[in-house]
Amino acid sequence: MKLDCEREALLQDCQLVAAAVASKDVKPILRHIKAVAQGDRCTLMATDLEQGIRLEVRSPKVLKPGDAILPASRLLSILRESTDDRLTIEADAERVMVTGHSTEFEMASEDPSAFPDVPDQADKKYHEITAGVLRTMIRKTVFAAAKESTRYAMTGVLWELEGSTAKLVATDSKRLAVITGEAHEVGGHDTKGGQHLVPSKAMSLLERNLVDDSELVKVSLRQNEALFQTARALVYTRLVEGRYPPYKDILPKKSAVKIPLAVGPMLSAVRQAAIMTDDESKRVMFQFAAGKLTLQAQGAATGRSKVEIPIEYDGAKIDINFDPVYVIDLLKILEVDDPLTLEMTDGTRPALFRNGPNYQYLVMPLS
Amino acid sequence: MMTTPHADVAERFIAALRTNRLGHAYLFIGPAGVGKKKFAMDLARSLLCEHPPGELRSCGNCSGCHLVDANTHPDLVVTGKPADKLEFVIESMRKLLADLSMMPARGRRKISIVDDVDDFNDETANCFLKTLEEPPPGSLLLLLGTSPDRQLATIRSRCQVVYFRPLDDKAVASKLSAAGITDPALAAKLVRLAAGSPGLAVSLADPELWQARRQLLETVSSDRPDGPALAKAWMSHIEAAGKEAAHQRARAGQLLRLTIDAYRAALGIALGGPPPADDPAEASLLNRLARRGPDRLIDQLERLLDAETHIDRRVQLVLLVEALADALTIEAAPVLRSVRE
Repeated sequence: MKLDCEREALLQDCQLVAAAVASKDVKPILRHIKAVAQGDRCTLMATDLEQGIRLEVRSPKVLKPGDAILPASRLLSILRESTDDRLTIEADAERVMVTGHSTEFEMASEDPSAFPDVPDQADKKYHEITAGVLRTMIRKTVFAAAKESTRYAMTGVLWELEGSTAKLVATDSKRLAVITGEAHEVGGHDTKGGQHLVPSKAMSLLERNLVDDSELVKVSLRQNEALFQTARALVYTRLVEGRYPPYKDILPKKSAVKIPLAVGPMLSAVRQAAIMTDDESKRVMFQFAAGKLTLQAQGAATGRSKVEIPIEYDGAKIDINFDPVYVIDLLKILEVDDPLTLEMTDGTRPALFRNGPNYQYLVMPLS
Repeated sequence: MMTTPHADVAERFIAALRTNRLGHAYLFIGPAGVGKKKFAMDLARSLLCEHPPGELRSCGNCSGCHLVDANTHPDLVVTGKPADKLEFVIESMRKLLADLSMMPARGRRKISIVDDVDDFNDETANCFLKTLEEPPPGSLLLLLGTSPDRQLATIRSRCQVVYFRPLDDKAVASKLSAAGITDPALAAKLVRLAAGSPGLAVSLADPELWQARRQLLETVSSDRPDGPALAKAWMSHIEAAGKEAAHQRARAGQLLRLTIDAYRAALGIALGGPPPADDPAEASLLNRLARRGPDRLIDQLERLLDAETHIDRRVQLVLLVEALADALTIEAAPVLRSVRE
């Protein structure tokens, strides 16, 4: 294989692809990028056997078609440090040569057939979602998924695609985020009868590859895997096994009070109150009273805090305890002037934050 | 059927596949080096092959086979204790469980080969139990261990146990010649030592090991053996295996095995048996050793056999070697009592 590429463009492409390279894996070939050059196209591939990406290189000049394995971290260093505008990459199963105007790099390579290829988009059935909508949906859910848990199902984000709606759900058993967005169905694609849990890592990889807000992303969810096709990239992931909690049963059907909240002042108040929490008492008491919200925290080793903010509320008093991290996580990802309402019944039942008609965020209170 | 010396085991799997009754967890039990892992890999390859040419066979040409050979198949996980550790640490187990939590990528099956099940610690075993009992659909777990007694009952009861027998001497000999060991005297000794395990036979073929054995036997059978010097030489041979405790312990075990074998042979001569006819150097060495008389040889042999279990039980190597060197060099026998008592 022999390629002639623009350095800056190839650097950006390689950085995108390298995000999927296995970080520390016993299998050395997975620390590399596979390049496939055919006709006037060149595709870069990387995978850690769970996620994978295929990316079309922008305007490569293919001088000789073929496959090659390129060492990811060294190649990135070369592309970063080189001062040439264009570089030539020539590779076979034994070695890779990168040549610039007055530079030359030679690296060992490996047999391309030992690389597990990332599947190609071949489905006729898929959903189309605009990149802008998809990015918001990912940002508003992925943080709520469990980071590390022995209940693996919760480390993924649940996808439900039906008709013209896409729904994403994430939970770590103490909070739950549900968002719906507009989607366009093609060829009768839906996720009924199956459970599609996309690992958080793949969601982040996908987010990095969403460039233009108006671009259409084709999403196809198969039984065991999910494929996301953007204009240039294809993000592939295996789905997570396990039973997902029945989230619809958890969302409260009705609640006693609805309190509108202002995102900016609320975030500032919770952050201030949280200063006096410590590892043992990770809780802030939210006291809702007519016209006023009082936040209080107390830690044995730290001290106590009390923060008051005005709210539009004239109902009965409600006291409820939250882990401030879960509330801050939500407020952080919202815009300062986003609409936000809190729906509650009392201090023992889950509280539901609503941002517009499409986004719900449920937090379990602390006892 | 694939080519394997363990035809009985292969038939069992074929029968299970024919009746669609393949279990989800198997515990392979057999001496180290008889080919359990090889069998597990071949089985995995045949199950992951995309165009299998027959029952329990793989084509070797499809991308499934290529990926298995390159160890990059997404649906095959091979794990074991880390090379530098004496135990199967919990991190390796967590990694395996995380891998198992993903849906199969290429086919409907995902296979995990878990080596060194003998060396699970309690933490690792407990962490594994839930998944071992009810792994995700399509999983096949192949656990490899050397003895059923060394597994926790909770692990054993969750698997179907498959026994791997030691191979016959002919098979071991042919494996040795395939590995390039052609000296017939050495090969004959290795076959005897290996007790049906080709892997062990090959690992014992290291010339340095035999050199160390010769030195050791020469020292102990000399007129005035120097115990401390012997211990020092012994330890330096063990330390040459590398810094890691696991490697040192393996080397110590190998040398001990050869020494025990020599003492057995010497005991045979002391009791009136013939010395080996085809190897004069070896014969004179063993004759010298045999002159100590059967009583002392039996005493010392007992100490050597105890040491073998102590190596398994992780007794500190320096202490073990020093005590052994003393036991093998001190003139009178009565002070030497088995540690077991």
